[in-house]
Amino acid sequence: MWTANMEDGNAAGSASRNWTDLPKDKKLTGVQLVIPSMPKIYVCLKNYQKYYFVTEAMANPGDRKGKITAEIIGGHDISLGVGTEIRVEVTGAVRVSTYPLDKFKFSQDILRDGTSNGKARLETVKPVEAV
Amino acid sequence: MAIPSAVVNAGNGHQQQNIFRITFSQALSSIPTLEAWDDSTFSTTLKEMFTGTAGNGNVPYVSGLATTDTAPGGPSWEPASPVAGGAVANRLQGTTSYVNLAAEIPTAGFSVRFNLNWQVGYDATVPATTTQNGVLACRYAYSGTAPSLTWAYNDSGAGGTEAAPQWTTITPGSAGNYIRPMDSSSNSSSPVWTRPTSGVADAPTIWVTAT
Repeated sequence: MWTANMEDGNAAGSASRNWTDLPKDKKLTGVQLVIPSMPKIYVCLKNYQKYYFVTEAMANPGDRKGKITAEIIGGHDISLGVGTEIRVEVTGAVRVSTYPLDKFKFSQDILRDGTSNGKARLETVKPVEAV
Repeated sequence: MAIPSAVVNAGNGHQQQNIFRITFSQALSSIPTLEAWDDSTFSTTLKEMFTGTAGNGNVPYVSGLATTDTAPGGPSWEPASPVAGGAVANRLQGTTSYVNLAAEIPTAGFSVRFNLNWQVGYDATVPATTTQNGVLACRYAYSGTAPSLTWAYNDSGAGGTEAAPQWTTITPGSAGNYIRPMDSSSNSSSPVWTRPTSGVADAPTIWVTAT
């Protein structure tokens, strides 16, 4: 469950829309993802120049819908050429990784601009209300 | 034709593209992969079908080949050993070695296609009811509306061919269908695959069955 904080002070989240519904002309100040085993706590990426979110699922032969296995948020620090990704599995396991931007494996279409105004960082925060 | 039925051109030794397919109703965010696991918790690959035996060089029994974009360069597409990570053709073992099902990220309505092969050595455990009862799985990612998947196979019983495939949908769940390696002389009511007396052997046919 993600929440995106907008430059204008509003927030949007998965409760009301898909990530791909986020307008491309509004910049984000950060993206949060809830940890299932600790629903009061979010992991958060801030001050990145690009953000993304994906849901990962696994389907056995014949399955119309797969089982969700993880939710992932990521941020691109273009000036450093580095991406940071937080993978939160349904088990509650959280994995953080970094990669060079030329190894970005997801669609460019899911990237949304951010308002980088300082050092990109990952932090744990209290949730904000999504709208 | 209905399930059970043999799958047209399934297995090693075939150079065609229309064998199995998965259609995604919505756009994905990454290239989907084909994997194999012990069970549908997708957490372990400890069974003999992954560890192999001395007789097969201790490599996984099941191989996959992505045929979405091109046919294999030759009919013998099965790799002798697993390739670390994703590849067009690979021996399947969890996320250790898997198949990338396409070269590009699928858009809404796109189908990926693939082939499968089973190969065992003379010393494979029989009966194989607890050593080869792993699961196949497709891993996919999305950022918009969750896609529906439609798994299908080119149905021999319905007269499918490479040029004019007859796609029959595979049904899901514990009461759903199975993809099974079988002897040429076997039948769906009593599916059997006989291990070789020496060396290794590929499954002569692959069926989709109801039990």
